[in-house]
Formats: sequence, C-alpha cells, structure tokens
Amino acid sequence: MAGAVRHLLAFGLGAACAASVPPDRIFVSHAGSASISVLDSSSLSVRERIEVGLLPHNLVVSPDHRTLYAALVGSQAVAEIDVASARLRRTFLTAPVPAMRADGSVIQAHRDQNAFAHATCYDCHRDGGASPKYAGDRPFGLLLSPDGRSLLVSHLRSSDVAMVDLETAAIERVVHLEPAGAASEPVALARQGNEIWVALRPPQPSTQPGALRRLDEATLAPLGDVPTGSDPGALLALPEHGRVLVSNFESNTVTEHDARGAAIPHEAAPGPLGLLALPEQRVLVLDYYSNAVTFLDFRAASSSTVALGHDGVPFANPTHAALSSDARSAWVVTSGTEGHLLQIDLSSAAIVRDVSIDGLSFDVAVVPGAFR
Amino acid sequence: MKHLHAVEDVMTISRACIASLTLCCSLGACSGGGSSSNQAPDAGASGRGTVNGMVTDIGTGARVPNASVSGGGQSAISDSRGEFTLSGLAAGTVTISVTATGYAPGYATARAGDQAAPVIVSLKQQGTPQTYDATTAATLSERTEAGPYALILQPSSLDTTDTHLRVSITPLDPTKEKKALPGNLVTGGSSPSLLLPVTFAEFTILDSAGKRVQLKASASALVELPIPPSLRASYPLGTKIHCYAYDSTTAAWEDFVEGTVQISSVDGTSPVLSASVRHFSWYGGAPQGQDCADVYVNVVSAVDGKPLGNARVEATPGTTAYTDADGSAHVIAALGSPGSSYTAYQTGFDVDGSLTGIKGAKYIEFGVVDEDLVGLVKRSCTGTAAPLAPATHTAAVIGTQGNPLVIKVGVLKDVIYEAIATLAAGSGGSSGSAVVILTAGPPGPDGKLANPQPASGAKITLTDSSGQSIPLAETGAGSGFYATTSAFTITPGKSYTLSIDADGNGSIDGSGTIVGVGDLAWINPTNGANVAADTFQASWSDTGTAAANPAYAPVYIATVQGSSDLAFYLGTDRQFPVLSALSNAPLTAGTYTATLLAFSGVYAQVGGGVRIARNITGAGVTGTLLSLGGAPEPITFAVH
Repeated sequence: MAGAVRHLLAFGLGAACAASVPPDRIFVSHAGSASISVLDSSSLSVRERIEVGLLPHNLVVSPDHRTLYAALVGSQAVAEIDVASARLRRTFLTAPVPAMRADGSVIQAHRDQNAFAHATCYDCHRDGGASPKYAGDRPFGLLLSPDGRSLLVSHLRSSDVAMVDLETAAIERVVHLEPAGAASEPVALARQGNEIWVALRPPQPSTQPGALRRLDEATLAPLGDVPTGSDPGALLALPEHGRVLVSNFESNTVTEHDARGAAIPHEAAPGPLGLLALPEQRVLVLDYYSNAVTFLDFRAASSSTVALGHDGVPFANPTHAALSSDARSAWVVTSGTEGHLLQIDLSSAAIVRDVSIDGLSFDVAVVPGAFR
Repeated sequence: MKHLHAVEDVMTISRACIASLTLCCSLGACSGGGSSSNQAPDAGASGRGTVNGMVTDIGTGARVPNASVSGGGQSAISDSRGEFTLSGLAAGTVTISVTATGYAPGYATARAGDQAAPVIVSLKQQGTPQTYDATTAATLSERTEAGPYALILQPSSLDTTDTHLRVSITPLDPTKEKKALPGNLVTGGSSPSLLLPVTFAEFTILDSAGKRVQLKASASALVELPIPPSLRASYPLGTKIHCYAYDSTTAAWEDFVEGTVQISSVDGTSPVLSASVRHFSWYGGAPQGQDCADVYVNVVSAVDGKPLGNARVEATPGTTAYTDADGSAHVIAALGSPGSSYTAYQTGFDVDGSLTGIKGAKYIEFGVVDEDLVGLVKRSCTGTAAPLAPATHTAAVIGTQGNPLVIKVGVLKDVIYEAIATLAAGSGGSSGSAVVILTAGPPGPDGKLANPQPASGAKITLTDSSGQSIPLAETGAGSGFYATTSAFTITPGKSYTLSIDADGNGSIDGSGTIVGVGDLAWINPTNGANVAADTFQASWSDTGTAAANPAYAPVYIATVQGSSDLAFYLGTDRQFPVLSALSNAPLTAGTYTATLLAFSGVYAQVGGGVRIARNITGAGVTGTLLSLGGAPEPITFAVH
C-alpha cells in the first residue's frame, strides 16, 4: 500500500461538527491510577470511576454487553465490572498466589496472612502496602470465548496462558508457552478460525525476533510459529482474509500473516500499537510514537496517516481505540502524561471532540446504551 | 592522615593518589561576602503575562549569558547576568525552551498571569561530542562515577546519510542534578501521579550542517543509563522501570515504555537501565512514586521575616506551587528519595533601588532547604493535587499546616561564590571534621567566577540525616576558611548536607550532600603476602558499610604497581579481579605495592583519568564537596 501522511485540518468542538452521537458508555483503563472511568458519550463526562487494581490495561466486553473485563497487570488479576451499574462485580486471580519465590524460599507473609484466599494481589500490594507494589505474573492479553463463558489470559512474566471459567472464576487450565528463541512474553491473543494466535516478544528492549504462536483452540496445543518483528504490539484477526494482522511496535509497519508464513507488510507511522477493525475492510492503526493514526484500506490497497493534534500541540501516544455503536466514530485513547479521549469521525478522519483523561491511560471499550 | 584540616592536605592527597583528579583553589586578599539590605519585594511583581527568569549552569552555578529563550510565541536572549524577560504572554502555562552553546537544551514551565512569574532554568553542560558515521553500527558512551551512559545505533538507522555526525550524550544523575531535568515529572489528568527520577540523559545528534538528526521512521535505538550507586539497592538487576522522553511540543514526558535494569554492555559491570528510544531528546527512567506527603511551606524574607507572595516553590522530587499573599503554599513531595529539597524564589523589579542599589534593576530572591522531612503522614503519590484532609501530626513535625516548612529567601547578588569542602568521618576516638574554603568574585564574560577572593561572613551549616546540625565557624577574620570547631560526630556511611548562606543574609544560596567515607583496610592481599596471579582477586573492607546506608557508594581507587607491570581499579565495588592494565592478563610475577583510596563525590571519566565535578549547587553558589576515606598504608606483596 502506498503511504500518505496528512495533518488534521478540521478540528471542531462540540455537537456542531460532530456526527450524531449514539448513547454509548465508554470505559477507559487508567494504568497510572489503578482505575477505570466510565464516560457518557453524549456529555463526555465521567459518570463513574472504578478502583480496580494496579496497572489496568487491556479491556474486553462480553458478547452480551453486560460485563467488562480488565487485565490488572500489576495485581495478577482480572477485574469484572457490571456494565449496567458501572460497579466492580468481583476480581479473580489469573494465576495462583505463590507460596515460594523463584529461588525456593518461602514467602512467609503469604503464609502468615493467608494470601491464598485473596482474589487479587491488590488487597495487599498497593501504595503503602506490601512490597513490591506491582506483584505477580503480569496478566496482559485477554481473549473471550465466543460464548463469553471463558477467558484466556496471557502472562508476560511466566509465559503462561490461563483459561478462566467465568462462572466460577476458577483457573481451568494453564498452558506454558515455550519460548521461540528469545521471544518468551505472550503479549497479545487473537482467534483466527479454530486457532488461537499468540504474539510472543522478547523481553524489551531487544532486537531479537518475535514470533506468532498458533495454538489449537480446543486443546491449546501448539501448531507452529510464524516469525515476526522484535516487538509485536497487538493482534487483529482478519477473517475475511484468513490472516492475522500484527502491529510491529519497533518499526513503522503492520503486517498480515497467514498460517503458512506469508507476510504482507503495510506502512503505518512509527510505533504502531493498537488495531481496530473498521467497517468496509478498513483498519485503524494507533501510531504510539508518532502521535498519529493510520487508516488501512484493504479494498483500495492504501494507507493514510493522520497526525493527532490541536493548535500545533500533539495528542501524545495513542494506544487503543474502540468503535462507537453506530460504527461512525472511533474513540481513541492518547496515553501521554496529559491523556485525552478523542472522538474521530470515520468519514472525515477529523477529531470532532476531545476530553482530558488521566495520563498513562491505555485501552477503551464501548458498550451501547445510555446510563440509566 | 585522614582528618583533613587544611586545603593543602587535600591537595597533597590529590597529587599523591589521584593523578588526574584536580582540585584547584586560589586564595587572595579578602573582600568579604557582605550582606544586603533586603526587604520584601511586594512592589516587584509586575506586568500581565510576563515571565522573569534566569538561566544557570547546574554544574558550576554560573549564570549563563547569551542563551536563547523562547516561550509563548515570544523570545529573548539572556543578558550578561543570565537574566531574561518574556512579556506580552497570554495568561496560562507557558512552556519555555532554552538553548545555549555548549549546553544540552533546557526546558521549564511558568505560570503567566496577573503577576510576573519567576522561573530559573538550569542547564547541563553538554557531553563531549563524538564523531559517528551513520552507515556503521556503533556504541557511543560517556562515562561517569555512576557508570557508562550509552547510545547503541544500528547501521543506517538514522534519517541521514551524513558520515560526519557529532553525537553528544549528556548524563544527568537525578540524585544530584534533579533541577536540570526539564518540565515536571508528573503524569497529568484528573488523577496526577508523581514520578521518581532514577537516571536520565540527553541525546543530541548533529549533522555536518549542525542540524539535529533523528531516527528513520522504521528504526529504533537502544540506550543504557546507569543506575546511580545510591539507588542500586532499590532497583536491582531485572527491575522494570518506566521510561519517558521529554516532548518539547507538549512540555511533558511522553513515550512511556518499560526499560529493564541489566549489566552495562560497555563496561560489563555497572547496572544500567536499558530501553529503546525513537526520538533523541531528554530520556530516562522514572517509576511512579509510592509514598508521598502533603508539605506546607511558608516563604519569608530572610531579612525581616515578612511573607512573600507569588513566590515559586519547587519540591524536588515533587510538585511546583506558588505562594499566596501570606507566603503559604502546598506541594506534594515524594518521600524516600535521596537529596530531597525545597526551593523558593521570586523575581521582580527593584522600583526604588532599595534592594539592589539600582533603580529599576531586576532582582531574584532565592532560598533552598535541603531536608528529608520526617514524621509526615504518608499519602499516595497518585490522586488529586489538592491536599488531603488535614492529618494529625505532633507539633514538632515540620511541613504541616500548623508547622510549615519555612524557606527564607534573599536577594541574589551579582557575585559568584565558590566552595571547596571536605568532610572527614570520625574514627579511633575522633569525631571527624568538615572544612570549607569559600571564595567570591564577579562573574567573568562567560558567567563564571573571575578573580576569586576569600569570602567572609558566610553562614555555613552541616546537617546529618537525622536533622542534627552544626555551624562551621570562620577560623580567622577575612580568611574565607570555615571549619567545625566543636564536637560533632561525623559517622562513616551517613549522609551529610552542607548548606551555604554565602552572603550571610539568612537565606540558603546553595547546598550539597555527601556521604562520609569510612576507613579502609586491605583484606587481600595483606602486607607481605604471596598471591597467585591467575586467581588474584583484591578486596578490602570499609567501616562506612556499617551504617547500612543505601546511599553509601564511595568510589574506590586501587593501584597495584610493580617494576614491570601494573593494575588499576576505579569503581564502587570492594573487590576486583587483578589483571594487568598493560596486557589484560594475570600480572607477571614479581613484587608489587598496592595503594587504596576512597572518596565520595561526583566525577566524570575523561580519557584515562577522572575529573571531579561540582556537587554544591544553588543560585550563585557552586563548589565541590568531597569526603575522603581513611586510606591504609601502602602494602608490599609478591605475585607468583
């Protein structure tokens, strides 16, 4: 695809320039402040702020739109949020609380305080609490089963993928992923047909190659590896192409991969991270290091990069985006130290609204329907 | 041997043991530091949308003339006193950029509004330029006492084909030079969070035409930033530390990624923070703070005690605030960081000449308190910037609403003070001592001290980490020589802060912190020993380790000298494998003499030696604060 860069010329504030806004609830994970905020798409006001645990990152919404799950990277847990009430329903561990350290020594505090009965490390490991503040195996990638009854969770530190039964919150199965060369951190998950794809990256920083590990969906047994760049950021299944799209965070490209190892690169801007499927075979790429987004158009075989800014000041470090329920807008999180949530009109590629959010925010999820 | 009471002793040890470690001192007739008639400058704050500022050198304390200053669409050049004014600014936060020849770029923010906003921008002298051919792979480094700062470039990764690039790596150790870090290390939004600086550097690559060069869109580079010795216990190998790059367009620290603490690829021993970069600018690691405290400050004139409104207060590390009409301000300070300080200053115009002697002259009132406040109720470093509900403290706790931390400020003069200070820890029944030689003079054309003369009338205080302090007395009228005169135990391994009120007007103008170095003794070899060359590991003990102070990381210099071979060690470990400096192989057999020295201070490694850097910083005050360890007698031994 030929790449083109343009700057946003149109920047309108308020409803005058905005497309009509469906009544959506917007959930944003704030990695820097242990919380998730819930905004009303009409007013862009924060209606609720939910304290969930340390380093909330990836978000997924259940197929029935009733439940939101957030990976708590610093608390070895997932937060389960009731969408209707915007309340934390429960938290569950994604890996058992360890009794011993890696060197074999007993963690006496876990024994003394019966840490094994807790449902999140955040109960003890937090500001002013037990050290280290960030505890556990760093759950990061999330993937719901199509029926919404189980959740796959990948762990950066242990290289494990856990399957959690969402009715009981029990860890049903754990699969340890053997490293592919230096690539040992499972950073993202995607479902492609009857396969689960896992992006494995080497611990950063690194110039060693990463890999895409294909797993059998039913057994989670490995089916093979596909080579990729040194820092794969996110995965997006492209069912109509029979491929998986990976963002190559270390470069300025995203690449389509198939199971046979074919790779089709597409130009984005430096630091592509989040990937959002758009209508009409388009994909929105969040270009973290470039303060930009790139529109990939598979039908037109083109890409177009748009800088995010206002009055010459960039909206720094876009990470992830979510589609509005009418599929006419994308809600984009920019995760700089002054964070923003941007509404981008997909027909004009213009920012039509923005609101300040916490710095170091990460992901966004949209659930149709207004607050009651 | 260890307890130094005169500069000549310092210079003797310097010459004998550290050939390339230079301490310079010039003494002449005394002109005195003097004190000013100072009063609260309530008439000084003037002008809507105006920023009055000063550019200083963080390393020398000198004011920096001819610096280009821009912000809010306005620009200025700093005058011969390093001062500048930006006027006609729209109300709100102004991002200020400062460039000066020989310095890494500096940045600051100021609040433009109804009253003139004060700002002091501290610049760091740029690292030594290194040549680089963009078509090659290279590891470029700059060495300091903390270890090597490195930039690792892949061939053809830069957005240029120039083969004559100049790369400058400017190290910044936040435990000593936090004030030169641009902007505020705070995440914003409705739930701001304080970041704790660990290790930073500025990377500049210029092409043959002097234009800045960046990476290609498809490329990245690796950087390695050493963990300061005093922070190594807090950030062991394998630790993940959040890294940020300073973005001058947003005036914030952006590009958050995780780096990992690992062993330096340059020297193979120093722990460094390794991370990838996509933009060359200021870059470094700063995890979120865990324990913070609300700190209440009261800024007053050092002369008459009147409160000072509209003064800028900077907690380091911490937030920035401005005083109200009562001189009061609230800041959030991170606890547990070495070298916490609270700075207050204000700028204005001396309408009637009562402050400076010159009608209409610009002035700066400045004061600093270096203190790790004890007893404050902890709060999370994340959350609203507003103070939490008042906590119950005992009356003795400083920094509370009922007992605010008082910062006295006084007018800075057009005089530069330079201090050379040594701290000798006590041992064998001795309590230890501290001596300071203070000189003063006018700034030369380069802003640095010219024609130094002994400075009398200063008030100098030594404070330990528990808050106990002792004044240093001038030992003879007009001598500029100050020393501890009564028993004050200086314990090896404990931290001490030297505060200098150079002109004696009641406000602290500059300060430095050092750890007292202990007595050294050889463990291996011992005098008269016969050691095997192929397994020879030298080691020694240090009484300073008994204090168990994580900040205790003196630099040891060991030399092993024979008739035909020699070995050398410079670092913070208390052991080293003894290999020939000539062949990098085990020493040849023979008789050797070993010497050992330790000092606590700041240095840069230049060529084959080291250059002591200045670690007394402030406004108009610069200097070197060293602690030298008790060196054992040279030993003689055989190698087979």
